[in-house]
Amino acid sequence: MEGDALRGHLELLLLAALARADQHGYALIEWLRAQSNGALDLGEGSVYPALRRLEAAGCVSSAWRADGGRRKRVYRLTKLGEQRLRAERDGWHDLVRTVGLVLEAS
Amino acid sequence: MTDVETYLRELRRSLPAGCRRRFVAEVREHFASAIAAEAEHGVGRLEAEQLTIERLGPAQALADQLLADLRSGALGRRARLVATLTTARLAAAATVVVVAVAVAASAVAVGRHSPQASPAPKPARRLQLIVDARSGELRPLLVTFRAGARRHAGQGSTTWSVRPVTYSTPTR
Repeated sequence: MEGDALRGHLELLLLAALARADQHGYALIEWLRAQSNGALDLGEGSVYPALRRLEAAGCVSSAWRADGGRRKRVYRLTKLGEQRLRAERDGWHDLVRTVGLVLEAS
Repeated sequence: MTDVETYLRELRRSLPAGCRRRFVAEVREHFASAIAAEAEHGVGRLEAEQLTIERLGPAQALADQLLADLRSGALGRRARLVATLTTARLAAAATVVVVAVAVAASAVAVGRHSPQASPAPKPARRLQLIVDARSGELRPLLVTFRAGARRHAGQGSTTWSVRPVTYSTPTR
């Protein structure tokens, strides 16, 4: 699944990844790739602006953390982010169910 | 300079000052993590750099995404304001300031040294009566004065010393 198909869902995927654990940008990308068995071909450059948008919206917070002699910007899901994740996850399931109904009927 | 440094340099140049440092530092860390991860799979540094650049996409495209978010207000009002302060705009503003200061300075300098800015008075003539040393009689004499040294009298005003330069007998 390439970038265009993922557009609009990237923030949902990032929220889902952060619901599992606090992570830095590269680890988030790697985790998403691993979870999708490599099917998610994220435009990696789009991840960082998306994280910024989520942070500006109050859905994630971030801070520099030392890790193995390097400083990494680690993101954490906020309460608001948890709420948004629930809402978007429900919306996604509704969409899949609805589209599925139409496709099965055709 | 490595490809990564070139990439980061281009990214830095394309971003507004207010968000440049963090974003570039984050992408720099992304490179470090990616290169380290590729090294674990036996990929050499140069190849790992190229792979990471390919996956990130062009630096300009990455900067454009962030700038679009900044300008749309998706990153907040303050960030939107910061978006207007790109390096190019800062450079342009700095150039305008420098030129303005230079023009102002030269205007002051011209004011100090050029007679055009504060023109010296034109030569003036004055009729004086002098006592003739031989005859003891009063005799008219036309004296032409020219401006001498300029003096600042304060409050922005200027005074000029005058000196007589020619003496002649008035003709009828």
